[in-house]
Amino acid sequence: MDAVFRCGTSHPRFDLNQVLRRLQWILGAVGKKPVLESDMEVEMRTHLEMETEDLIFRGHDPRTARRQAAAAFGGVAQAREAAIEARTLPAVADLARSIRLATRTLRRHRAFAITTILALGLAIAVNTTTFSVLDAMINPRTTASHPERLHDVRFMGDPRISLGEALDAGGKTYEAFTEWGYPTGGWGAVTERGNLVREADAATIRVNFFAVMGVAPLEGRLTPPDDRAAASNVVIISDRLRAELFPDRATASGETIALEGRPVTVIGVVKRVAGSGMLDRDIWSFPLANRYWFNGRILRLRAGVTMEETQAELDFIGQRAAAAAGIPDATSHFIITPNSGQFTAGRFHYALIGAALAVLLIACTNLANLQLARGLGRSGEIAVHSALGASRGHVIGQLMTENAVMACAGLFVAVILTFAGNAAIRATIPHNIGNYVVAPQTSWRMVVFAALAAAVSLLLVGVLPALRTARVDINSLLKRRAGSGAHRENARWYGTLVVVQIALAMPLITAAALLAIGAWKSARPGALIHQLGYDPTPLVVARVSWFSADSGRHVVPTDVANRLTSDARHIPHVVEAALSFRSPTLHDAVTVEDGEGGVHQSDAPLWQYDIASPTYLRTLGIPIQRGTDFPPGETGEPSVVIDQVTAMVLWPQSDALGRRIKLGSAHSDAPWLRVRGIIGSLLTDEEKEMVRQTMSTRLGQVIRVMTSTDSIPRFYRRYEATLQVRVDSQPQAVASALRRALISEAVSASKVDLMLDRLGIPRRLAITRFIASLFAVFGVLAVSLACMGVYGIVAQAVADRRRDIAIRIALGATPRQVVRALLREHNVLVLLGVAIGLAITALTMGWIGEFLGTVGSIGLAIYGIMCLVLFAVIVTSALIPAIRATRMGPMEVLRAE
Amino acid sequence: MAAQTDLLQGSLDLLILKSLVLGPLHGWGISKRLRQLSGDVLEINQGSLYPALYRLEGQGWIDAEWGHSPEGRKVKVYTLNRSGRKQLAAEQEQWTLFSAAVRRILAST
Repeated sequence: MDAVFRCGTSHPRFDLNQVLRRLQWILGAVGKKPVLESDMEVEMRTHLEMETEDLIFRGHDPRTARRQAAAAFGGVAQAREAAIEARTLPAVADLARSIRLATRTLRRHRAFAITTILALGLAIAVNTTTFSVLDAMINPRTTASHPERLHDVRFMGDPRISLGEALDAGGKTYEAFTEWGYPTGGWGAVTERGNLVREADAATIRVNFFAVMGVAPLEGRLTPPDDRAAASNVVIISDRLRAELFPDRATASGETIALEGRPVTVIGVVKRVAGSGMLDRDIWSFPLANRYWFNGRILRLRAGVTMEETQAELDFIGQRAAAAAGIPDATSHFIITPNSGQFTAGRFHYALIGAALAVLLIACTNLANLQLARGLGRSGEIAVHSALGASRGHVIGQLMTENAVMACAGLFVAVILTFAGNAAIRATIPHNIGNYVVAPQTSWRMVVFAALAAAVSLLLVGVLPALRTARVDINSLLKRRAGSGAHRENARWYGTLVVVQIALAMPLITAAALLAIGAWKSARPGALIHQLGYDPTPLVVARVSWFSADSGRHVVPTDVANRLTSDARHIPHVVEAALSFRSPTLHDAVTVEDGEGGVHQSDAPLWQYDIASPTYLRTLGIPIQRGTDFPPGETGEPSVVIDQVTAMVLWPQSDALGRRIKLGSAHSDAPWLRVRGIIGSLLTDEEKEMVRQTMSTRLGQVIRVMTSTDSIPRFYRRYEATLQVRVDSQPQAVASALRRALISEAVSASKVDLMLDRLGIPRRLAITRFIASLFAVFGVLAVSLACMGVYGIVAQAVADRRRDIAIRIALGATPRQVVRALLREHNVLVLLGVAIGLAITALTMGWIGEFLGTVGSIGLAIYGIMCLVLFAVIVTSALIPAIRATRMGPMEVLRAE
Repeated sequence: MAAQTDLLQGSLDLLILKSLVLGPLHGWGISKRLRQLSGDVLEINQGSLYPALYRLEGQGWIDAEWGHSPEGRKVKVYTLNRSGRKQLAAEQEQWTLFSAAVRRILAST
């Protein structure tokens, strides 16, 4: 027979209905504990009363009856407790008990708990904030309606095929079609309102752009007037630009601002959305010209349409447009991609993630260290638990519950700090930081990430110390006093954890130091002159372009130069002005006369030289190193000024000064020009050396004076030249005046910037400063945590060996000897950590290399200095408990032992 | 005479279910009925009775409802439901097998 009897409570067979009923019964009791307790109270009291009455009825006197009834019932409180427990899941009841116990224990060790919670909270917050930034880049929160139906389309075919009208005719698979373009002169446009000047990200859009995107205005309207001329005088701005240009007003609609010097009226404001392509702009304008060359196309597909259907229809439209234009093009086709921003992580982003993770790891190793020290300090208490029958699993469970309680509190702190961190980044993030970082966004993903980070930290922080602590030998621990050798047994663990912390802190502080020095060096006034060869600060530069009304007529560049420079000189504070443009050589070659009277020709593919007003070098403030500057006007023999690199490449064996050069092949009719001066080169010493070694024809700068017979180059029927203006003060005001002056000229488009802005120096500096401050936060946190870790282990070592130290002091050891003995072994760990950290630093510094351009040769010295700083800071933190150890009274310690 | 030894673990559930076969009862009534039926041999520890009642209610074998005793006291009345009757039958069969097995063992020595 198979029957097996269990001598215990009944074990019902598994029945799903029954399980669900029980669950419902238990859940029904959730939150009703007071009601349940009161019901039980009534029930049990009634029981006692009935029992008492029954006993009286059977002949007992009331007093005896009451006593007997109470005795028969047993403990009412215990019965109630047992009954309540019957109405909760056993695991939940156990957990609740463990949490209560853990909370009580942590309340007893308040300092430890607060330190752990804050450190964990900070480390998780750093990671979550970093995550929020990356999340905003990967999953930008667009304001477009049904963004999944918006697609970018690119036409791969003959550019002469006109697609705008063909696509406008409508399709079965898409609802609407719109286009956008780059504004003249690049993405940036200068906007002005009174004295407020802002460089804004700009886009030129078709009138239906916002309607197709499905974006609602924050104020005003998003469709321009029907009349094209009127439409070209209105703009839509972002909420961010509104805040910058209208700090004193809540609305901007109907106001007039200047866009590249041209007065325009704001008709509406929309929310700027970071990382979402064309909605991540500050100002949207409508094309000035009749036929504007747009750069991108966006389609809004109909709901439920597949990509294949759209592809087939677009390809058909493309073929039809090609046939209509008389350009049979069988290979033309469309590429359709979702409009959502495509984020590609760069090395910098890995550096950011790495730095945040390093802080979390340092915090975790540090806390694991603290846990281990504290756990071993509690080994007596744990031994008593074990002796009373707690299993090793139970002890580990209890320690892990304490960690879980701290992790939950840490998570709470982290979420609060993350909100604060996100707000701080939003307030300090530089504008136009581009693809590096965007303002962080708050989402459910952020909270999930924080919870995951807390869970990972819990595992990292809790498991090892819990396992180590629970492994203590009960007998030996109960026999000896706490703190008598536990440290020595676990020195290996402590050591490893300390080395990990220091090794991870090293790259962070080095990166912070290098970035800070890079930012500081770049910001020094002399740094730019050293880097560029001239001072860009007092320079205003305008890229001017105009359509040729008559393509056959020769535009005399000297006339244009005279007119524009004369206009510029009339502006107050302008000292000098020059016009220049670039030109390729004839037959892509350069010919020079060598020292022996021979002629030597070099290829110069894709290379261009400068044709400029005679005042060019004076305007830019480029010093002549040898020879002389151009004289005013077209006088004397035609000549050039070249830079050092060109001189080195073309005349490697002899002096270039006074030699002749032809900016064309040997057989071309280009005139011979004499080298009259040599200027410095923009190449670094290393680059010059590379040119010297390879002797490639990578030419530097060659400047020739403009003549009336020169031709200004044309791109797409548009003439383009650059006007440089030197000022003695107030470059911003001169830039504004120049914008207005150029508009009154017959210049169709111009882009006037300060030379500093044109070179992107303030933007780069702002980015470097911002990233330096990010890494400074990481670095300071990392070093502080590492110091805390080292302080902790030395303090633990002192506590562990107070008897040894007391004996040494009693035997006559001086405080210096005691401190030295304590620090000696830890110094080895610190040195090992620094050495490994140095290796990690060397391997990872390339990730932020793009921001370290100006650090130069002092980079290596920084490595050394940071090693010393880290060593000194950590040893100092170890000194505090070591010095405290020397102050202990040996007699009291020995008596206490 | 009340039994000195503790009730065999698990048998309490069987006894409570059995006591409710004759009709709904409140907690004291169940303990009273068990004492009577056992001829004063079994004394139920009241501290175990109520947790057991809650447990059985949780298992879905008995239903509980507040009512009034003939004396007008507010009492919680327990009723054996269909699922409980099935459980009782199963447990009774097990108990019969078990007690027969124990008796056989004791008889053999």
